[in-house]
Amino acid sequence: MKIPFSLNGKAVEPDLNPMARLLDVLRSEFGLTSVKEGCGEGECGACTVLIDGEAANSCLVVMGNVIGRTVNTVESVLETPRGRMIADALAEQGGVQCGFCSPGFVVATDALLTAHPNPTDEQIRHSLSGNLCRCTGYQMIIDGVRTAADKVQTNEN
Amino acid sequence: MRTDVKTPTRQKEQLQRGTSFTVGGAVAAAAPATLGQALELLSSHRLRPIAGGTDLVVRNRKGAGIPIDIGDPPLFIGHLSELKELRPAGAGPNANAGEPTGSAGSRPAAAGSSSVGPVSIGAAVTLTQLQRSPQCPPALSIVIPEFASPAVRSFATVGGNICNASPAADLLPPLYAHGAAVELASTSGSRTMPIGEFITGPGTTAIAAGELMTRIEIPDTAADYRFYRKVASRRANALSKLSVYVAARTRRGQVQWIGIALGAVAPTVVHLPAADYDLFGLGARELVEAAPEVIRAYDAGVNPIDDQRSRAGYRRRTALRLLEFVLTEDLPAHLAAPGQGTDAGGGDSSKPSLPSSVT
Repeated sequence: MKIPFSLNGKAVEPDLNPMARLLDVLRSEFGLTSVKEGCGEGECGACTVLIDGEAANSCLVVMGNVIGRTVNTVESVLETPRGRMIADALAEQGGVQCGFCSPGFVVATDALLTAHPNPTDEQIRHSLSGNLCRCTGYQMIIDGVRTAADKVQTNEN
Repeated sequence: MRTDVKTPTRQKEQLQRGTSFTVGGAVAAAAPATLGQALELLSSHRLRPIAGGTDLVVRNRKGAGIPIDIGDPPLFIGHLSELKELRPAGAGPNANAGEPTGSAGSRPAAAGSSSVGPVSIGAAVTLTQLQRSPQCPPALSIVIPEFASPAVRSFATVGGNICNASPAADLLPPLYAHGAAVELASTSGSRTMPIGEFITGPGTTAIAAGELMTRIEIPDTAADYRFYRKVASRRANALSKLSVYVAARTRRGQVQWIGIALGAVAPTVVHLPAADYDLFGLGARELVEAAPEVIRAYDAGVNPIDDQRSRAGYRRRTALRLLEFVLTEDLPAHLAAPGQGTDAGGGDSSKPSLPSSVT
């Protein structure tokens, strides 16, 4: 059955099982392999996407729940100036090592900066609490997000 | 938009394009446009309601690339606007239409108080929507930040957390302690029942075939003393080993009302109104004297299990030790402190410190 939704700014209407996972559909139907499957149960955040601007675990979302909604992956986040600043700042601060978790962190950070343009450290840690990284030990990611938030603020003012 | 929990019009129209899909005469999946349609479908077909899906998908996943099989064809209800309203209780449907701040019909909030009065929460309101709403009951706003992670909370719904009836469900202890009730609807009408009657065991409820949970009715949860501890292996995105929720309203150094609820230490949440009632009217010293009796009652009421998250003995010991801390140290200190009367919520540096074994 046809599932109409918006994906990275384009209207799409794939013909799919409504109980297919958004994660699988993004990867296999649309080739968006930035969306990673880590745990498959909402613990690791590697599959984080934006749905109507909110961070969501695409491994937990079935297609029937995205009908008429707006889905954005890191590909479209990186087309925005803010998305690029987030990715650059993470790289600059050493917040990217193997890179598996990075798309999820960029997306979660984008959602954070929508909700809190000038986040406290507590807000940063809280917003990223659903994203696991086994390389960096997190502090470099927190530093990257702080750097990104400061750059976004400077650029907007 | 962020505080408005109603479904955007655009989304509703698109959903109306396909209400149900049939394969060989049987309904294979349904995305109804209205609650009425959902109830009609449920009365005549074998369908499994799915709202956010964050629990159902985890429980039924088979692996990469495989669609989720939840036993029966899915009835998608997470988008239904009737189930997404968050309003003052008794205000009636659409009392708040077009007013995202939601002040209409609620009693004026007293200065310095976070009281929002009684509220009625649609079953498909997500945890994120609830947390951002000015109408979020304070009893739930202290629990939500420790509920899974932000990316789960953006889909997980209040009704889903209740209907899954997990002994470790994070929303349940405050709902029991404050005497919340749930509304169930079918094509033949609706009924309301207390949360403790609705949940009949781990994963089981009193919902009948053809019924959907539509609303959660929560009395005014204002309290000047509130204690909540979720004990888990990490602060975020962890299922609870056990949890303790206590709220109290006090006046002139005496407990006027207290509600205690213990999570994940029995097949369902343990809340003993008769034991709590024995504490009404007590001052700080009397409370310390009465505490052992109440702790004994809760000791007899809990029945924890060993599982992959924790051991029965740890669960019992830690829950009762936290309750002892509340009744013999933390709440007596609050009763003795001058200037009570605001919704405390925690963070007061003059408070006694928690037993170190559980922090």
